Amino acid sequence: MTQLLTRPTRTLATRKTTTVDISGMRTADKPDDILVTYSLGSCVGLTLFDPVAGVGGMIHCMLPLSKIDPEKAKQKPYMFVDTGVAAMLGELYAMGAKRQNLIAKVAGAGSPLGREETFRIGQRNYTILRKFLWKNNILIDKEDVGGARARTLYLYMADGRTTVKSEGKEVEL
Amino acid sequence: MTEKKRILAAIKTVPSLPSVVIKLRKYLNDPDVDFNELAKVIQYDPGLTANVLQLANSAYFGWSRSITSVREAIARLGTHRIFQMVLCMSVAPLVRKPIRGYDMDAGGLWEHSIATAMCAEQLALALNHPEAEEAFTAGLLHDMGKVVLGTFVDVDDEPIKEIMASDGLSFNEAEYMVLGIDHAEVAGELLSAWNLPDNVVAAARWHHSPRQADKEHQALVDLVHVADVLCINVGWGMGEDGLRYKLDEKANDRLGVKVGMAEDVILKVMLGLDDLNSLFQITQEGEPDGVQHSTR
Repeated sequence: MTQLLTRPTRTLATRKTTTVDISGMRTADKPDDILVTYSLGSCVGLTLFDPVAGVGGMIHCMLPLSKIDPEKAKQKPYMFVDTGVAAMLGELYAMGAKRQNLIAKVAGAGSPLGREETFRIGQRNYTILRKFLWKNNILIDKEDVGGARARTLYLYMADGRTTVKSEGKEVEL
Repeated sequence: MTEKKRILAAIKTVPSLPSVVIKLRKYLNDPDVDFNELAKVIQYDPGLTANVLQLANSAYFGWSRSITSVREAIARLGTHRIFQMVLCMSVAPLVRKPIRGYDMDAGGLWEHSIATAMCAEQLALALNHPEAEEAFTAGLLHDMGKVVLGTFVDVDDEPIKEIMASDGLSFNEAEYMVLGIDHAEVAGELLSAWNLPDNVVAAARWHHSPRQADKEHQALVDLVHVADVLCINVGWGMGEDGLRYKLDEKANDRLGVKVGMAEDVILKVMLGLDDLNSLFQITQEGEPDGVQHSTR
Protein backbone atom coordinates (compact mmCIF):
# COMPACT_ATOMS: atom_id res chain seq x y z
CA MET A 1 0.00 0.00 0.00
CA THR A 2 2.75 2.44 0.91
CA GLN A 3 4.11 2.16 -2.60
CA LEU A 4 0.82 3.24 -4.08
CA LEU A 5 0.73 6.30 -1.85
CA THR A 6 4.17 7.55 -2.84
CA ARG A 7 4.36 10.47 -5.22
CA PRO A 8 4.53 9.32 -8.80
CA THR A 9 7.91 9.91 -10.37
CA ARG A 10 8.33 11.06 -13.96
CA THR A 11 7.40 8.33 -16.35
CA LEU A 12 7.98 7.87 -20.05
CA ALA A 13 4.45 9.10 -20.61
CA THR A 14 5.46 12.60 -19.51
CA ARG A 15 8.23 12.70 -22.11
CA LYS A 16 7.54 14.47 -25.31
CA THR A 17 9.03 12.94 -28.45
CA THR A 18 9.21 15.18 -31.48
CA THR A 19 9.93 13.78 -34.94
CA VAL A 20 12.22 15.70 -37.24
CA ASP A 21 11.06 15.07 -40.81
CA ILE A 22 13.30 14.76 -43.88
CA SER A 23 14.36 18.35 -44.66
CA GLY A 24 13.20 19.43 -41.20
CA MET A 25 14.73 20.87 -38.03
CA ARG A 26 13.45 21.02 -34.46
CA THR A 27 14.77 22.62 -31.31
CA ALA A 28 14.00 21.71 -27.71
CA ASP A 29 14.59 23.26 -24.28
CA LYS A 30 12.84 20.96 -21.80
CA PRO A 31 14.58 18.06 -20.05
CA ASP A 32 11.69 15.74 -20.92
CA ASP A 33 11.98 16.42 -24.63
CA ILE A 34 13.29 13.77 -27.03
CA LEU A 35 14.08 14.58 -30.64
CA VAL A 36 14.16 11.78 -33.21
CA THR A 37 14.66 11.49 -36.94
CA TYR A 38 14.09 8.32 -38.97
CA SER A 39 15.30 6.95 -42.31
CA LEU A 40 18.71 8.58 -42.52
CA GLY A 41 20.19 7.20 -45.73
CA SER A 42 22.48 9.51 -47.66
CA CYS A 43 20.88 12.39 -45.74
CA VAL A 44 22.85 13.75 -42.84
CA GLY A 45 21.51 14.20 -39.32
CA LEU A 46 23.13 16.65 -36.90
CA THR A 47 22.41 17.18 -33.22
CA LEU A 48 23.62 20.26 -31.37
CA PHE A 49 23.29 20.40 -27.58
CA ASP A 50 24.28 23.12 -25.12
CA PRO A 51 24.37 21.54 -21.65
CA VAL A 52 24.74 24.94 -19.94
CA ALA A 53 21.73 26.62 -21.54
CA GLY A 54 19.81 23.34 -21.72
CA VAL A 55 18.86 23.84 -25.34
CA GLY A 56 19.40 21.57 -28.31
CA GLY A 57 18.33 20.85 -31.83
CA MET A 58 18.29 18.25 -34.55
CA ILE A 59 18.32 18.67 -38.33
CA HIS A 60 17.82 16.17 -41.19
CA CYS A 61 19.37 17.59 -44.38
CA MET A 62 18.80 15.97 -47.75
CA LEU A 63 21.25 17.74 -50.06
CA PRO A 64 24.55 19.56 -49.56
CA LEU A 65 24.25 22.96 -51.22
CA SER A 66 21.34 25.33 -51.79
CA LYS A 67 22.88 26.87 -54.91
CA ILE A 68 20.93 24.40 -57.10
CA ASP A 69 17.76 26.38 -56.32
CA PRO A 70 18.17 29.38 -54.00
CA GLU A 71 14.45 30.25 -54.30
CA LYS A 72 13.33 26.81 -53.10
CA ALA A 73 15.96 27.00 -50.36
CA LYS A 74 14.06 29.98 -48.97
CA GLN A 75 10.90 27.83 -48.75
CA LYS A 76 12.72 24.83 -47.28
CA PRO A 77 16.02 25.99 -45.77
CA TYR A 78 16.55 22.80 -43.75
CA MET A 79 16.61 20.70 -46.90
CA PHE A 80 20.20 21.82 -47.55
CA VAL A 81 23.22 21.54 -45.30
CA ASP A 82 24.45 25.09 -45.94
CA THR A 83 21.19 27.01 -45.40
CA GLY A 84 19.81 24.50 -42.88
CA VAL A 85 22.66 24.41 -40.40
CA ALA A 86 23.04 28.20 -40.61
CA ALA A 87 19.35 28.63 -39.73
CA MET A 88 19.63 26.01 -36.99
CA LEU A 89 22.56 27.79 -35.37
CA GLY A 90 20.66 31.08 -35.55
CA GLU A 91 17.69 29.57 -33.72
CA LEU A 92 19.81 27.90 -31.06
CA TYR A 93 21.73 31.12 -30.39
CA ALA A 94 18.43 33.00 -30.11
CA MET A 95 17.37 30.43 -27.48
CA GLY A 96 20.48 31.19 -25.43
CA ALA A 97 22.94 28.58 -26.69
CA LYS A 98 26.61 29.57 -26.85
CA ARG A 99 28.86 28.36 -29.63
CA GLN A 100 31.65 27.28 -27.28
CA ASN A 101 29.26 25.02 -25.33
CA LEU A 102 27.71 23.26 -28.33
CA ILE A 103 28.28 19.52 -28.61
CA ALA A 104 27.87 18.34 -32.21
CA LYS A 105 27.07 14.78 -33.20
CA VAL A 106 26.50 13.50 -36.72
CA ALA A 107 24.83 10.43 -38.21
CA GLY A 108 23.88 9.24 -41.70
CA ALA A 109 25.62 10.21 -44.94
CA GLY A 110 25.39 6.62 -46.12
CA SER A 111 25.65 5.35 -49.67
CA PRO A 112 24.35 2.38 -51.66
CA LEU A 113 26.47 -0.75 -52.07
CA GLY A 114 29.21 -1.00 -54.63
CA ARG A 115 31.32 1.67 -56.24
CA GLU A 116 28.73 4.38 -56.32
CA GLU A 117 30.67 7.14 -57.96
CA THR A 118 28.09 9.16 -59.80
CA PHE A 119 26.04 10.94 -57.18
CA ARG A 120 27.95 10.53 -53.89
CA ILE A 121 25.19 12.48 -52.13
CA GLY A 122 26.00 11.05 -48.69
CA GLN A 123 29.70 11.79 -48.96
CA ARG A 124 29.07 15.32 -50.17
CA ASN A 125 26.49 15.98 -47.44
CA TYR A 126 29.06 14.98 -44.86
CA THR A 127 31.91 16.99 -46.41
CA ILE A 128 29.87 20.17 -46.63
CA LEU A 129 28.57 19.73 -43.07
CA ARG A 130 32.05 19.22 -41.69
CA LYS A 131 33.35 22.25 -43.56
CA PHE A 132 30.45 24.42 -42.43
CA LEU A 133 30.86 23.45 -38.76
CA TRP A 134 34.62 23.95 -38.98
CA LYS A 135 34.13 27.46 -40.37
CA ASN A 136 31.87 28.14 -37.40
CA ASN A 137 34.47 26.82 -34.96
CA ILE A 138 32.39 23.79 -34.01
CA LEU A 139 34.11 20.42 -33.97
CA ILE A 140 32.20 17.18 -34.43
CA ASP A 141 32.32 15.37 -31.09
CA LYS A 142 31.07 11.94 -32.25
CA GLU A 143 29.75 10.52 -35.50
CA ASP A 144 28.34 7.39 -37.11
CA VAL A 145 28.49 7.96 -40.86
CA GLY A 146 28.86 6.12 -44.17
CA GLY A 147 28.01 2.55 -45.13
CA ALA A 148 24.73 1.15 -46.44
CA ARG A 149 22.79 1.13 -43.15
CA ALA A 150 19.59 3.04 -42.48
CA ARG A 151 19.82 4.99 -39.25
CA THR A 152 17.49 6.55 -36.69
CA LEU A 153 18.98 9.36 -34.57
CA TYR A 154 17.79 10.32 -31.06
CA LEU A 155 18.65 13.28 -28.83
CA TYR A 156 17.57 13.07 -25.17
CA MET A 157 17.38 16.58 -23.80
CA ALA A 158 17.62 15.43 -20.16
CA ASP A 159 21.36 14.93 -20.50
CA GLY A 160 22.20 15.44 -24.16
CA ARG A 161 22.59 11.71 -24.71
CA THR A 162 22.60 10.97 -28.43
CA THR A 163 21.98 7.50 -29.80
CA VAL A 164 21.81 5.85 -33.21
CA LYS A 165 19.51 2.92 -33.89
CA SER A 166 20.36 0.79 -36.89
CA GLU A 167 19.57 -2.77 -37.92
CA GLY A 168 17.91 -3.46 -34.56
CA LYS A 169 20.73 -2.12 -32.36
CA GLU A 170 20.82 1.20 -30.51
CA VAL A 171 24.25 2.58 -29.64
CA GLU A 172 25.29 5.76 -27.89
CA LEU A 173 27.31 8.29 -29.81
CA MET B 1 6.02 -26.97 -52.54
CA THR B 2 9.20 -24.89 -52.91
CA GLU B 3 9.30 -21.40 -51.47
CA LYS B 4 9.28 -19.94 -54.98
CA LYS B 5 6.20 -21.94 -55.97
CA ARG B 6 4.45 -20.85 -52.76
CA ILE B 7 5.24 -17.21 -53.59
CA LEU B 8 4.06 -17.53 -57.20
CA ALA B 9 0.84 -19.13 -55.96
CA ALA B 10 0.34 -16.24 -53.52
CA ILE B 11 0.36 -13.75 -56.41
CA LYS B 12 -2.98 -15.19 -57.44
CA THR B 13 -4.46 -14.20 -54.07
CA VAL B 14 -3.64 -10.49 -54.53
CA PRO B 15 -6.78 -8.56 -55.47
CA SER B 16 -6.86 -7.59 -59.13
CA LEU B 17 -6.93 -3.95 -60.15
CA PRO B 18 -10.34 -2.28 -59.83
CA SER B 19 -12.44 -2.42 -62.98
CA VAL B 20 -12.31 1.38 -63.32
CA VAL B 21 -8.53 1.17 -63.90
CA ILE B 22 -9.00 -1.45 -66.60
CA LYS B 23 -11.73 0.63 -68.28
CA LEU B 24 -9.57 3.76 -68.17
CA ARG B 25 -6.61 1.91 -69.70
CA LYS B 26 -8.70 1.08 -72.74
CA TYR B 27 -9.32 4.77 -73.35
CA LEU B 28 -5.69 5.79 -72.92
CA ASN B 29 -4.53 5.33 -76.47
CA ASP B 30 -7.77 6.30 -78.14
CA PRO B 31 -7.34 9.71 -79.79
CA ASP B 32 -11.09 9.99 -80.36
CA VAL B 33 -12.00 9.37 -76.75
CA ASP B 34 -15.22 11.05 -75.67
CA PHE B 35 -14.46 12.99 -72.46
CA ASN B 36 -18.09 12.69 -71.34
CA GLU B 37 -17.93 8.89 -71.60
CA LEU B 38 -14.63 8.82 -69.76
CA ALA B 39 -15.95 11.14 -67.03
CA LYS B 40 -18.91 8.79 -66.53
CA VAL B 41 -16.57 5.90 -65.72
CA ILE B 42 -15.20 7.90 -62.79
CA GLN B 43 -18.37 9.71 -61.72
CA TYR B 44 -20.07 6.36 -61.22
CA ASP B 45 -18.10 6.25 -57.96
CA PRO B 46 -18.61 9.36 -55.73
CA GLY B 47 -15.63 8.57 -53.47
CA LEU B 48 -13.35 8.23 -56.48
CA THR B 49 -14.72 11.45 -57.98
CA ALA B 50 -13.92 13.39 -54.80
CA ASN B 51 -10.40 11.94 -54.72
CA VAL B 52 -9.76 12.68 -58.40
CA LEU B 53 -10.83 16.29 -57.88
CA GLN B 54 -8.56 16.65 -54.87
CA LEU B 55 -5.59 15.30 -56.81
CA ALA B 56 -6.48 17.36 -59.88
CA ASN B 57 -6.17 20.45 -57.70
CA SER B 58 -2.85 19.45 -56.15
CA ALA B 59 0.28 21.30 -57.15
CA TYR B 60 2.08 18.21 -58.42
CA PHE B 61 -0.66 16.58 -60.46
CA GLY B 62 -2.60 19.50 -61.66
CA TRP B 63 -3.55 23.07 -61.26
CA SER B 64 -4.10 25.22 -58.25
CA ARG B 65 -7.54 24.80 -56.78
CA SER B 66 -9.66 25.59 -59.80
CA ILE B 67 -10.83 22.29 -61.31
CA THR B 68 -14.39 21.55 -60.25
CA SER B 69 -15.54 18.64 -62.41
CA VAL B 70 -14.14 15.33 -63.61
CA ARG B 71 -14.74 16.32 -67.21
CA GLU B 72 -12.72 19.50 -66.72
CA ALA B 73 -9.97 17.50 -65.03
CA ILE B 74 -9.77 15.17 -68.04
CA ALA B 75 -9.77 18.04 -70.52
CA ARG B 76 -7.11 20.04 -68.70
CA LEU B 77 -4.83 17.31 -67.37
CA GLY B 78 -5.21 14.65 -70.06
CA THR B 79 -6.28 11.03 -69.92
CA HIS B 80 -2.85 9.76 -68.83
CA ARG B 81 -2.81 11.99 -65.75
CA ILE B 82 -6.31 10.85 -64.79
CA PHE B 83 -5.25 7.22 -65.25
CA GLN B 84 -2.20 7.79 -63.02
CA MET B 85 -4.32 9.40 -60.32
CA VAL B 86 -6.86 6.56 -60.32
CA LEU B 87 -4.03 4.01 -60.31
CA CYS B 88 -2.45 5.74 -57.29
CA MET B 89 -5.73 5.55 -55.41
CA SER B 90 -6.22 1.93 -56.45
CA VAL B 91 -2.89 0.64 -55.17
CA ALA B 92 -2.83 2.89 -52.08
CA PRO B 93 -4.85 0.47 -49.87
CA LEU B 94 -2.38 -2.34 -50.68
CA VAL B 95 0.78 -0.28 -50.46
CA ARG B 96 -0.08 1.77 -47.37
CA LYS B 97 -0.28 -1.23 -45.07
CA PRO B 98 2.70 -2.04 -42.85
CA ILE B 99 5.00 -4.32 -44.86
CA ARG B 100 5.94 -6.85 -42.18
CA GLY B 101 8.70 -8.76 -43.96
CA TYR B 102 10.55 -5.50 -44.69
CA ASP B 103 10.01 -3.91 -41.27
CA MET B 104 8.23 -1.02 -42.94
CA ASP B 105 5.62 1.00 -41.07
CA ALA B 106 2.26 1.82 -42.58
CA GLY B 107 2.85 4.38 -45.28
CA GLY B 108 6.54 3.62 -45.76
CA LEU B 109 6.23 1.72 -49.01
CA TRP B 110 3.58 4.15 -50.17
CA GLU B 111 6.00 7.04 -49.70
CA HIS B 112 8.73 5.15 -51.54
CA SER B 113 6.40 4.20 -54.40
CA ILE B 114 4.99 7.66 -54.97
CA ALA B 115 8.48 9.22 -54.63
CA THR B 116 9.93 6.80 -57.19
CA ALA B 117 7.00 7.51 -59.54
CA MET B 118 7.60 11.25 -59.38
CA CYS B 119 11.37 10.83 -59.55
CA ALA B 120 11.23 8.60 -62.66
CA GLU B 121 8.81 11.01 -64.31
CA GLN B 122 10.92 14.07 -63.45
CA LEU B 123 14.10 12.37 -64.71
CA ALA B 124 12.33 11.56 -67.99
CA LEU B 125 11.16 15.17 -68.33
CA ALA B 126 14.63 16.54 -67.53
CA LEU B 127 16.13 14.20 -70.15
CA ASN B 128 13.45 14.98 -72.73
CA HIS B 129 12.59 11.32 -72.77
CA PRO B 130 9.25 10.47 -74.40
CA GLU B 131 8.16 7.90 -71.78
CA ALA B 132 7.54 10.26 -68.84
CA GLU B 133 3.98 9.00 -68.32
CA GLU B 134 4.99 5.36 -68.33
CA ALA B 135 7.90 6.24 -66.03
CA PHE B 136 5.44 7.50 -63.42
CA THR B 137 3.28 4.36 -63.66
CA ALA B 138 6.26 1.98 -63.60
CA GLY B 139 7.85 3.88 -60.71
CA LEU B 140 4.63 3.67 -58.74
CA LEU B 141 4.35 -0.09 -59.18
CA HIS B 142 8.01 -1.24 -59.21
CA ASP B 143 8.02 -2.51 -55.61
CA MET B 144 4.64 -4.28 -55.64
CA GLY B 145 6.65 -7.48 -55.13
CA LYS B 146 7.38 -6.29 -51.59
CA VAL B 147 3.63 -6.15 -50.94
CA VAL B 148 3.28 -9.77 -52.07
CA LEU B 149 6.29 -11.00 -50.08
CA GLY B 150 5.73 -8.86 -47.01
CA THR B 151 1.95 -9.08 -46.75
CA PHE B 152 0.51 -11.98 -48.74
CA VAL B 153 3.36 -14.43 -48.07
CA ASP B 154 4.59 -14.53 -44.50
CA VAL B 155 8.22 -14.50 -45.53
CA ASP B 156 10.68 -15.18 -42.72
CA ASP B 157 13.08 -12.30 -43.16
CA GLU B 158 15.70 -13.44 -40.62
CA PRO B 159 17.68 -15.70 -43.03
CA ILE B 160 17.57 -12.91 -45.65
CA LYS B 161 18.99 -10.39 -43.19
CA GLU B 162 21.63 -12.86 -41.99
CA ILE B 163 22.96 -13.73 -45.42
CA MET B 164 22.83 -10.08 -46.49
CA ALA B 165 25.01 -9.05 -43.54
CA SER B 166 27.42 -11.99 -43.62
CA ASP B 167 28.01 -12.09 -47.37
CA GLY B 168 27.78 -8.37 -48.11
CA LEU B 169 24.96 -8.97 -50.57
CA SER B 170 22.38 -6.51 -51.77
CA PHE B 171 18.92 -7.11 -50.32
CA ASN B 172 17.49 -8.48 -53.57
CA GLU B 173 20.47 -10.84 -54.00
CA ALA B 174 19.88 -12.15 -50.47
CA GLU B 175 16.16 -12.58 -51.23
CA TYR B 176 17.07 -14.62 -54.29
CA MET B 177 19.51 -16.80 -52.33
CA VAL B 178 16.95 -17.60 -49.65
CA LEU B 179 13.65 -17.64 -51.55
CA GLY B 180 14.74 -18.50 -55.10
CA ILE B 181 13.04 -15.30 -56.28
CA ASP B 182 13.40 -11.60 -55.46
CA HIS B 183 10.81 -8.84 -55.04
CA ALA B 184 11.52 -7.51 -58.54
CA GLU B 185 10.62 -10.82 -60.23
CA VAL B 186 7.53 -11.11 -58.03
CA ALA B 187 6.50 -7.59 -59.07
CA GLY B 188 6.96 -8.52 -62.73
CA GLU B 189 4.70 -11.57 -62.28
CA LEU B 190 2.03 -9.56 -60.46
CA LEU B 191 1.95 -6.69 -62.98
CA SER B 192 1.84 -9.20 -65.80
CA ALA B 193 -1.16 -10.89 -64.13
CA TRP B 194 -2.72 -7.42 -63.89
CA ASN B 195 -2.35 -7.11 -67.70
CA LEU B 196 -0.27 -3.96 -67.51
CA PRO B 197 1.80 -2.97 -70.58
CA ASP B 198 5.02 -4.90 -71.29
CA ASN B 199 7.30 -1.92 -70.69
CA VAL B 200 5.80 -1.29 -67.23
CA VAL B 201 6.13 -5.00 -66.39
CA ALA B 202 9.76 -4.99 -67.62
CA ALA B 203 10.61 -1.89 -65.54
CA ALA B 204 9.39 -3.60 -62.37
CA ARG B 205 10.99 -6.94 -63.28
CA TRP B 206 14.47 -5.53 -63.96
CA HIS B 207 14.59 -2.50 -61.68
CA HIS B 208 17.54 -3.98 -59.76
CA SER B 209 19.27 -5.55 -62.76
CA PRO B 210 18.71 -3.20 -65.70
CA ARG B 211 21.38 -4.85 -67.84
CA GLN B 212 19.12 -7.88 -68.23
CA ALA B 213 16.26 -5.94 -69.79
CA ASP B 214 15.27 -6.22 -73.46
CA LYS B 215 16.60 -3.40 -75.63
CA GLU B 216 13.10 -2.13 -76.44
CA HIS B 217 12.38 -1.55 -72.73
CA GLN B 218 15.88 -0.49 -71.73
CA ALA B 219 15.28 3.24 -71.31
CA LEU B 220 12.21 2.83 -69.09
CA VAL B 221 13.97 0.17 -67.00
CA ASP B 222 16.98 2.50 -66.60
CA LEU B 223 14.76 5.41 -65.55
CA VAL B 224 13.02 3.38 -62.85
CA HIS B 225 16.32 1.87 -61.68
CA VAL B 226 18.02 5.25 -61.23
CA ALA B 227 14.89 6.82 -59.70
CA ASP B 228 14.59 3.93 -57.24
CA VAL B 229 18.23 4.20 -56.15
CA LEU B 230 17.92 7.98 -55.72
CA CYS B 231 14.80 7.56 -53.56
CA ILE B 232 16.47 4.80 -51.51
CA ASN B 233 19.42 7.17 -51.06
CA VAL B 234 17.26 9.95 -49.72
CA GLY B 235 15.46 7.54 -47.39
CA TRP B 236 11.93 7.84 -48.71
CA GLY B 237 10.17 4.80 -47.27
CA MET B 238 13.25 3.11 -45.95
CA GLY B 239 12.88 -0.38 -44.50
CA GLU B 240 15.33 -2.78 -42.99
CA ASP B 241 16.90 -3.19 -46.42
CA GLY B 242 18.32 0.30 -45.89
CA LEU B 243 20.68 1.36 -48.68
CA ARG B 244 21.60 -2.22 -49.51
CA TYR B 245 21.14 -1.89 -53.25
CA LYS B 246 23.55 -1.20 -56.07
CA LEU B 247 23.43 1.59 -58.60
CA ASP B 248 24.21 0.23 -62.08
CA GLU B 249 26.51 2.97 -63.32
CA LYS B 250 26.01 1.82 -66.92
CA ALA B 251 22.25 2.40 -66.65
CA ASN B 252 22.97 5.88 -65.40
CA ASP B 253 25.51 6.50 -68.19
CA ARG B 254 22.98 5.38 -70.83
CA LEU B 255 20.53 7.96 -69.51
CA GLY B 256 23.16 10.64 -68.91
CA VAL B 257 21.95 11.78 -65.47
CA LYS B 258 24.46 14.14 -63.86
CA VAL B 259 24.71 15.14 -60.20
CA GLY B 260 23.08 18.55 -60.69
CA MET B 261 20.11 17.05 -62.54
CA ALA B 262 19.68 14.34 -59.89
CA GLU B 263 19.65 16.90 -57.09
CA ASP B 264 17.22 19.13 -58.95
CA VAL B 265 14.88 16.16 -59.47
CA ILE B 266 15.14 15.18 -55.78
CA LEU B 267 14.16 18.72 -54.85
CA LYS B 268 11.08 18.58 -57.11
CA VAL B 269 10.07 15.22 -55.65
CA MET B 270 10.43 16.55 -52.10
CA LEU B 271 8.06 19.43 -52.85
CA GLY B 272 5.64 17.11 -54.67
CA LEU B 273 5.64 14.66 -51.77
CA ASP B 274 4.79 17.38 -49.26
CA ASP B 275 1.76 18.19 -51.34
CA LEU B 276 0.59 14.63 -52.03
CA ASN B 277 1.24 13.21 -48.56
CA SER B 278 -1.14 15.66 -46.97
CA LEU B 279 -3.71 14.93 -49.68
CA PHE B 280 -3.49 11.17 -49.29
CA GLN B 281 -3.74 11.39 -45.53
CA ILE B 282 -7.09 13.08 -46.06
CA THR B 283 -8.26 10.63 -48.69
CA GLN B 284 -7.28 7.66 -46.55
CA GLU B 285 -10.23 8.27 -44.26
CA GLY B 286 -12.56 7.81 -47.16
CA GLU B 287 -10.59 4.94 -48.61
CA PRO B 288 -13.06 2.09 -48.03
CA ASP B 289 -15.58 4.01 -50.11
CA GLY B 290 -12.97 4.99 -52.68
CA VAL B 291 -11.89 2.41 -55.20
CA GLN B 292 -13.23 -1.05 -54.62
CA HIS B 293 -10.85 -3.90 -55.38
CA SER B 294 -12.40 -6.87 -57.01
CA THR B 295 -11.16 -10.30 -55.99
CA ARG B 296 -10.16 -12.98 -58.39
